[in-house]
Amino acid sequence: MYTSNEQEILTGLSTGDQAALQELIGTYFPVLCRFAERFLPDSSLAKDVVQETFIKLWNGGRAFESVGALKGFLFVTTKNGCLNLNRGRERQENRHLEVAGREPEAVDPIWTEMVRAENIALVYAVVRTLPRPAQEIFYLSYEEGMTVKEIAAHLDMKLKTVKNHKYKTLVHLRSKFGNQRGPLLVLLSILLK
Amino acid sequence: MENNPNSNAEYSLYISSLIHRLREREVLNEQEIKDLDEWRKPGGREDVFQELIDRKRFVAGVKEMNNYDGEDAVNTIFSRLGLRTPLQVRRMVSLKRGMAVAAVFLLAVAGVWLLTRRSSAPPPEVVRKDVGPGGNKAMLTLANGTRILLDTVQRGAITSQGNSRVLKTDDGRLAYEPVTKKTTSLVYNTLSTPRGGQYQLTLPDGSRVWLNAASSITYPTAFTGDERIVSITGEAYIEVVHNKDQPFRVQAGDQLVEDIGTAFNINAYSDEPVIKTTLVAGKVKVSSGTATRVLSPGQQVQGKGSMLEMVAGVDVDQVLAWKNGAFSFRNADLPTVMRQLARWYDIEVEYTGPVPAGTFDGEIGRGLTLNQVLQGLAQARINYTIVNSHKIVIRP
Repeated sequence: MYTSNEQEILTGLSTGDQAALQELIGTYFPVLCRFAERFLPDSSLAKDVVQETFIKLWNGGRAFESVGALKGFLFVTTKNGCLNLNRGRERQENRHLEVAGREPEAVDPIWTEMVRAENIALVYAVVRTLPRPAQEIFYLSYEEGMTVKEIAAHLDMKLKTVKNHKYKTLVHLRSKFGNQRGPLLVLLSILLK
Repeated sequence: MENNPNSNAEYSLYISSLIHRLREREVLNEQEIKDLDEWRKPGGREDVFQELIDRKRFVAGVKEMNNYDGEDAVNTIFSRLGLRTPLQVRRMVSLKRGMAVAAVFLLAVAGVWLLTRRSSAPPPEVVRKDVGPGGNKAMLTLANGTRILLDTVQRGAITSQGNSRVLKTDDGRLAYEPVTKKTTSLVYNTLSTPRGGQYQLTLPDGSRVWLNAASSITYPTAFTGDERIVSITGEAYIEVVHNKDQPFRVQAGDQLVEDIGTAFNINAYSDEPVIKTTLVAGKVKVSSGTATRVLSPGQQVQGKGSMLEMVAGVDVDQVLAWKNGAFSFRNADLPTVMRQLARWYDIEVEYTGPVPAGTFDGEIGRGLTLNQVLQGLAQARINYTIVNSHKIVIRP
């Protein structure tokens, strides 16, 4: 379920490797910001909360027993940060819902939003390591199901160039994510077509 | 569901991977389908599920991530954690000297340069015996200490070192060709360029190295170990042949650069304030003391001791200009310009009084003679006196 890269980050954090922190922020800062905005719509406040999360992560003894525990920390800390800034508001909103005859959600929305955020993180973590042209090609291939020929026409690139990018992306992903089972392998299979 | 946040986190990750696989048209087993259906039941979840399962809507969410600046966040967070002290990049406070300083030196094919603006300055002082530009000059030091001047040696086989044949190629490069696969202990050679020199080297694994003036590289003559380690002084541009079973590492002063099949430039002159590593392609990890950074193409890291600072949006062409036959300056102060000229023309530069203020932008061809360059300096209103063909003094 987890990429070997995430295991490396986990180990790296526990040994105080700054490059591991850098990798984690690179992927999870945007993901957590978007997640935070669902609880705290002010984007600049949300950004502050997320920065705080990483500060707390690094300063708070970074030994997590699993990738799940690490991610749990990231999402819970961020959500709590948002709640603290939001104290009065939520109670008010719940009151309105009750008056309207609807019950507030039976399940804590954090877990729903975490599923959504993690789904995006999975693919974003990979795509963000690609150079811009390769990213564009990936999106066209993935989203629109375009063939290499169609992509070349759409981006006004030579067919050879597009194929080259695809190949390089594949090589890059293989070297970065290795012999992964699971979700990432599926992503790779898209590029093989 | 238990109230343990960890198990809720683990469960959320599990559900997330199921949704991902489903979207990518993988087959889920019975239990997985059941778990997913269970997860979808509580209010508000079905909408989220529908958003994630639709490729178009999902990818829109991925693209949204580009609205947030992760790199900026790294810098801010690192700085708040005190993981590095932001290095003060010293800029000239005084005004630019107008167009005189922004004089652009263009190298036309004939080797004569043009100015964007003429001035009525008096004819500049020149050296009596003009100094030619640098060229392909280097010295090879073998394992036993024997030194070979490569500019004068003939093309073809030079010698053999350890498991490799050493030769000077037809186009004037130094190359190592592995002869046998026998593992013997590592034998080291050093290639060094003098001031006014530059050279190219092909390592026994096919990796290519371009050495700037006053630089050196020390390397094993055959890569028979678990890793490939070389060390450099001065400036080098390296294109590494990828081999994930044998990582390539470069030691440059305090910095250690570890590649994963890449091309990068390291500037580690001891008379420059910081060591700069610029990534051209691929990926590298740079360490300096306890600091580490990972670079993507187009990024540069500057460091000293245990401090590393990332610089984004670097002009790679400018960084590699030396390898392509030119000096390239952007917002460079006079001492920075003179240090580079000094290494290429093998001159000593002294300043009487305060260093003239102002910054330079432009390119100077590396094929120009010293006099041609000095003429350019005069046009930029730099006052200098020539002591001899190897020393100039700059006055305020």
